[in-house]
Amino acid sequence: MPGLVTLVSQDNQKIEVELNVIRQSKVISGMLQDLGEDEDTEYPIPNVSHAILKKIIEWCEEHKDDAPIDDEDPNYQEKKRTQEVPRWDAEFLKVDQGTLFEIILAANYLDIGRLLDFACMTVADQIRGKTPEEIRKHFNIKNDFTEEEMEQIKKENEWCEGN
Amino acid sequence: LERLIDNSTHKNIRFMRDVIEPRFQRDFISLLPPELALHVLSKLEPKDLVSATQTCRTWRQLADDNTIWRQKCLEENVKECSTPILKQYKSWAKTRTPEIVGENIHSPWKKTIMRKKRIEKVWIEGDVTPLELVGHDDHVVTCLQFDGQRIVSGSDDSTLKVWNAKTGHCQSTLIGHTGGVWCLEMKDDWIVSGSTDRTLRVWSAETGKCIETLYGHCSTVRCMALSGNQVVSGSRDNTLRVWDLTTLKCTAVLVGHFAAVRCVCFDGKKIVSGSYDNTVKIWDPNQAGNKLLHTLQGHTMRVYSLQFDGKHVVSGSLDTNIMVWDADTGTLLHTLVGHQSLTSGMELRGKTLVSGNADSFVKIWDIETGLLVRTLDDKNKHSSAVTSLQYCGKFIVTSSDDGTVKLWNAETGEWIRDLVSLDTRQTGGVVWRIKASETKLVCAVGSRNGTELTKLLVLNFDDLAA
Repeated sequence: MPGLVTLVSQDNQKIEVELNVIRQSKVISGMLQDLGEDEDTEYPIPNVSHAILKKIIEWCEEHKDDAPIDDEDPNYQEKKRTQEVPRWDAEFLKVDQGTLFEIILAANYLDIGRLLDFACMTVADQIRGKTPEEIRKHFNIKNDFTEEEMEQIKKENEWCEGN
Repeated sequence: LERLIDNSTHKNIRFMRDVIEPRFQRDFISLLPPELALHVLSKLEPKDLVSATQTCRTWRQLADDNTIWRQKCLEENVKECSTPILKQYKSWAKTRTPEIVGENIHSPWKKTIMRKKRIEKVWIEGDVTPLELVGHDDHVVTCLQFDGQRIVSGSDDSTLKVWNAKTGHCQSTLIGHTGGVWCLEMKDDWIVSGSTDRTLRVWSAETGKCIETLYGHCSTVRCMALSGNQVVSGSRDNTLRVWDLTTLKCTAVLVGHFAAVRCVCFDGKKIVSGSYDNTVKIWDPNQAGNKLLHTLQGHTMRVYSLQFDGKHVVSGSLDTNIMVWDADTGTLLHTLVGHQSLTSGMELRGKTLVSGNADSFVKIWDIETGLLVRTLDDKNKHSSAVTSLQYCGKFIVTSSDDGTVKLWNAETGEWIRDLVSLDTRQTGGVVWRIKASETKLVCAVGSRNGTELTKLLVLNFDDLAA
């Protein structure tokens, strides 16, 4: 079918996807340019598993009509800073930490700026408002500070913003 | 597997959960490539970054990254990295170990923001004992300037005094004017003052010596604005004069007002003057011949206060209105209606204007839409005329004839506390003027009936900030 390309995941599985959907990945876009949009060509994505690639494509489907982002635009940078993860994306990213981790790596590898941003914000949201102990518990982090260090770090990081 | 779970005890199921759950967890910050971990951390507020620092060594290293803190500083509009020097903190360094001062925080930008937050906290709730600088006898302090280190006060006793803001010591008394001092500007070593004796005087702040007396006005010099090496003076003789501080000569006389000039702004290019003839005039002092660009007509009473940001002129009048004008075309953009009396002080920050009024209210406006954003209305509001105000970081500080200085949250408009509350506030004690830096507040207080000694109060929000 015209307008379709075939991607081959890390675990050697093939997925067909519409061109205008997957163009949101700057890496695949570049590949298409380099290799030509030949329907018979298969495009290898060696760093991304089939399951994650499917997730990524699902996200791209939803966002195929979005206006392209301009990284250089200072207004965009400011908007990016203050915005929250949109509802659909927040739902989409409600996955276990392992999956979210893979999505971040894949979005970074495929260079899908907005998805990477939303995924990183999702992790940040999981850190926000927590005490150090709650953060450790949430991400299964081992506290490797000595008691002495703990005391010192606590002191020098005493947060004093009054409210 | 399902059957196994069904047959297990609650205790065993919980054990399984504890074994399985961590398998779904990921320590993103430690496991992601550093640039992605930093991307995640950069989405956090300073407060959460500080929590992240305390979780483990890897997180600490990344969360203390200087580039992230630089970004946080920029987000909070802190453009300069100013790390405190330990010896500046003598007073409490005696009792505490250096680690607490933040000497072990490696990111200079983090130090900067931590210091800023500490200072903010002292503004909000610190127990600060003011330094009392007594002088000018029982005369009125009419004008006040403060550059962070040096305080200069001008009085209707015909003198000015230069004070050290840190020690409270009076460094010099500037004697020479033969009438009350009504306006003053300072820049580097220069102090320029205007008086009812019709002159301006240029002084050296360092030595306290008068460098020159500038003659020309034929009535009281009432207001002044300084830009670069040029100073503009407005007088009750209806004119303005432009002076060059390097040659100490008058370079222009601006004639056009029909009554006393009460307020003036100057950005180096354009001069804006407000007058008792109810008009505001915009001048170009560098233009040959006729220097008047626009006459802004609209106020029905005397103009008392002005703000000018190069694009907008904002004028406050006894007619209770505040008007926003386009500085290029001279057209009226908005009339801000709501105050009941004379607008005594204003400050423009971006498109936000804060105005203090003799009706005792402080209001915040959006000058682009011309709409009132909020009135600082609180049961703890001022009970008498607002005399002076200033934006200070996330705060607004206001002073009043009611003998108090109040601290407000600039964002929400909430009253935070009274920074100063004179014992004599019920019997005549007033606060005439305030000037604030990030770390200090200077207030000129006194009374007109002798109940309160004329003095300056200096509140330092830094020394305690640990």
